[in-house]
Amino acid sequence: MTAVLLCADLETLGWGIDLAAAVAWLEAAIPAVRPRIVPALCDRLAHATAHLPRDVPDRLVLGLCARPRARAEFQAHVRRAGIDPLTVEIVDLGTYAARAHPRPRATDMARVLLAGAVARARAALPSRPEHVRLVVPRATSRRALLRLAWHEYESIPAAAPDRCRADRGCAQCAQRCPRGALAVVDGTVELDRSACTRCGICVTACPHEAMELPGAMPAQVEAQVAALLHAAPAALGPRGIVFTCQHDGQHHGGTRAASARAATAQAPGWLPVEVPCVAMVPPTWVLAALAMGAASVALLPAPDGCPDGTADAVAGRVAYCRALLRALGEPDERVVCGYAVRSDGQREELRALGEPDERVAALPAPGPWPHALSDAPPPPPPRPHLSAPEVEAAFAHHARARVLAHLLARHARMDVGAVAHPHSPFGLVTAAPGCTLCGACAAACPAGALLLQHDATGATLHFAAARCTACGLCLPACPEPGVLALARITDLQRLCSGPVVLARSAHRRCAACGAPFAVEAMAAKVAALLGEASTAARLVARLCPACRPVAIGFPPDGPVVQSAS
Amino acid sequence: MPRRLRPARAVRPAPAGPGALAVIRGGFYRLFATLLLYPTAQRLADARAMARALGRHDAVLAGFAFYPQWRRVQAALAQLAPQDARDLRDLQEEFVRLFLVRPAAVPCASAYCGAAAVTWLPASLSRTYAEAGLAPSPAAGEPPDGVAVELEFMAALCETEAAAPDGEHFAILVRERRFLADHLARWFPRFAQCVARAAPAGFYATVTDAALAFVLHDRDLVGALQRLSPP
Repeated sequence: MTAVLLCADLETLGWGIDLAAAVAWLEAAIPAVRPRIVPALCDRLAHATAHLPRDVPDRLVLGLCARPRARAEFQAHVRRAGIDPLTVEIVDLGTYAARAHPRPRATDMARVLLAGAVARARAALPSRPEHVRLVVPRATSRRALLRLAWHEYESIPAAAPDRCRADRGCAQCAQRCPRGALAVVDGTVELDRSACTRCGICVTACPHEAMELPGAMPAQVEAQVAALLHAAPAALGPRGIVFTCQHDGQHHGGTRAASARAATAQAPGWLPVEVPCVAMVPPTWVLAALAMGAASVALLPAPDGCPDGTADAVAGRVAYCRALLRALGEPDERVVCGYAVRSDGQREELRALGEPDERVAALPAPGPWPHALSDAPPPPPPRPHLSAPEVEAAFAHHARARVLAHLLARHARMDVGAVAHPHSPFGLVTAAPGCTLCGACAAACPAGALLLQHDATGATLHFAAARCTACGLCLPACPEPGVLALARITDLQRLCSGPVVLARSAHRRCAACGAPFAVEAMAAKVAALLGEASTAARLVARLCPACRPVAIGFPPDGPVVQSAS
Repeated sequence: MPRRLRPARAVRPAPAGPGALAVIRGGFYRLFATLLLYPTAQRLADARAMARALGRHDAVLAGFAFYPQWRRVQAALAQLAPQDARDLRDLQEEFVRLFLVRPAAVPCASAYCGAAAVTWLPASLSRTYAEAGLAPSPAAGEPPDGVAVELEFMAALCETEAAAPDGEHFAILVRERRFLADHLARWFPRFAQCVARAAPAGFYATVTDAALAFVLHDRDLVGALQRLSPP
């Protein structure tokens, strides 16, 4: 059960929000929600738990006039009430009450945002001890700490040990961390807790979905996006999703989140989704939001450049999404990179994003499915948006290819070629002749895109484009120069068609005993290195390791020590 | 003559002064050290007494992130009937299964610090204890890198901190932070993970989860205290 507490002052703040109508809608539209209007909740936030229903909720959503600055005492009371404070969602409705007008529109926005927050809170992971970090503000004195003042905590990322593949050489999270806070030590991911800025980039960089950051998990963001799109009333028109940075300046030195909230409050149709850092949003999230029914998606990075130096990456991802949309025959303006602005220029800057209403009119209607391409029975007609079961894991790493396949089917475009782009989240590995099927690339691949399989007849190297993250670790692992090649290409046909065979070779059998002892390609390579005409090459090429000593006069292997009897 | 590291019978009541935090922290370390030794009737009685003493500060403890895990330990201790030999036997069996016979989770640091650690770590730890004027008690029969000994060492440091005059805090905090960063907080997560994997619903999974939450929290807290303390 989820409790929703709303500050009664929102009724009179600015244009005001009709809280009774919002509560009635929440009760009717979302199961297991207990909304309550609490007088002066913002002033007495620490005692919010006194207003919780008797049967203690497992999740809590607060609709407040403004984001609270100090949450330490509130967190303590919530913890005592049996709720994980790191799963509490706080919605700044004051911005909407003050800026979104008229009152019915502000009320509409409030209920949409609350529905999104409820969905996000419900999808939250309970935090583990590794996820919690003590926050010590600069103004704190040692005396205050020693005298048991309230402590505030925030979530930090930690690797789930059962899914993390650091022990197999994967270090994707450490390589992508802009602060160098992550390192792989003895096969384990270690986090420098004080250096981490909670940007969440490691969460989406992990190909195994092992990095967890409570509050910003892909499942949470996905649930929020789905709820926002589902709950938005028709009166709001086509909806756009705008990803904004969550931090209010603690690490990034600005008022980005606040200005973005203010900006979206004035733009009809734009629904804000706060993430720790926009740079954590992979292109597949943008495309998934489009597949789920968003008319447009915007990314709002820092106006004055991201201190972590990720602004270029964000712009590159937007460019990639646009290239892909162009390939699909959609207007590429559906994905935009905007700028959150400071207090003096909010309105103009948001206008620069455009209205999602205008863009949706330009979208092509889903065309007929090209049956002629295949003799197979005709597939079901394309759907405009992802259905409920498809939505469930659309933001998960393992569903990246599924989202693109859906976009492809939705536009009935089977003739879309490959999109080459430096920010493509997918790669395409090819193998030139000369692969010895040693398996070094498959062992190095952290995403499991390369797989070496042995069967009765030989060995096969498979490549699954849907899993490839274009990390490039396979290239230095390959001992054969120039055999493997990687291109940052999103090949939609390949993504939909499943794994392909990169190389295959039969087993070579021992001329003496008949047992398979090597892959043909590897045996030929070794023989060539030894010199085709040499005795060693002949032995290596024809006989298994057990038969080689016998062939040159050694007795067959027997027990080293035998019983005297 | 170094002081012996051995579980005390109870936690001192927290004074309402700057040492209160150190007393509470020391109490937790001592409680977890007692709970991670082979369970006997006496040790369980001691643990209950310590938990009761710490429970008096419930309003204060709710302010700490490890409070939910601590509440689960309290509940688990309350479920054990004080005079029930069967409960004690079950606990002993779980302890033996987890930590002694073909252990699912070896309760020693050297098992988690690389293959060579078994040779150098115990000696290095003994030196660290000696520098603080302490030594593992032979009566407890625990190795220097045993989980209970490391927790007990931290308890002793916290008690020293609580009793220290104002100017001596910094040096003790440095020692605490170093020990946590180089030893306890470094390997304890893997130990707790092994326990949770082997018996996720067991008493010791509850205890190690709470101890892990406390140790990681204490590492942050001691680091903050050290930064704010005058050298």
